Amino acid sequence: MTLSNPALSRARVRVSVCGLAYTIPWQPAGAWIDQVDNLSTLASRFAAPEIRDRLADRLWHYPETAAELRAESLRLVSEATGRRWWEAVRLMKTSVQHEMLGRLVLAGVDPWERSIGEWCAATYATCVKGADQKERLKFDFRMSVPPVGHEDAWDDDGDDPAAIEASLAGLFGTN
Amino acid sequence: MDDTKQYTIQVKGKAYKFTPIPDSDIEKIMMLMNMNASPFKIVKGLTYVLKDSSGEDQWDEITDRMITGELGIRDITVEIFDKLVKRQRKDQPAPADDAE
Repeated sequence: MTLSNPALSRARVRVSVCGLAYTIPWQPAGAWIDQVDNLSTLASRFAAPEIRDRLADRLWHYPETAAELRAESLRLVSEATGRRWWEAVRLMKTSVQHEMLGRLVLAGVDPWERSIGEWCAATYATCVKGADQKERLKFDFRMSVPPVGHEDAWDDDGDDPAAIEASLAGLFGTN
Repeated sequence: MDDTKQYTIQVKGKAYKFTPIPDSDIEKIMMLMNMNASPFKIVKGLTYVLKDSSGEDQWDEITDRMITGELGIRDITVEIFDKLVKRQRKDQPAPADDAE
């Protein structure tokens, strides 16, 4: 069964680094959060040991391996969460702060049962719960700003310019 | 990078001289460690770079000490590679601020 929302999926994910194609098994949210500081090598860390060994060999023979591994790892985060990778990472990091983690646990969200997409969605929902439209827009805006060095990845996804202008006007109180 | 510079590093009672490791090789080793590669692959990678840095004769001696079990992976990664990189980076000038 193909799911239209990747955040709900429990399927293996296809990865390709320097011509080496492989799949990695579904991982629960807890496993992703555990690796949040090793993002650039996730596509290796979640791979089987023999694949990691082959990637290690490629690192010496193909100069582009490190860059491709990094790009695939970030793509994995986006694909698994259905969000831009930096938004997902911010949600992951937010989710393990004491108060937020407490709220998620009290709500019965288990990181070892849920997908990372579901976990991020639960974190987001908890963050914006009770927020008015302006607060929510501010939160979304802060989340959407790419980290330094990745500004080019910040496109408008074909958003309607008039809608963006109206949102910004609402956000900064200029209307 | 000053290729004529040498760093003396002592490993379990014996001193060896190493020339600086190219930044691109340091990055590869860091990546290997970060990607959770097997210890065998890490040692193989370290062999590539440390053999060049120490020279064939010294590296043969280090390898002999590894074969007899006198030196372990930790001695190669922490006692040699980490120390060498730290000392090398200490000698490198800090990057200049962006020009206006």
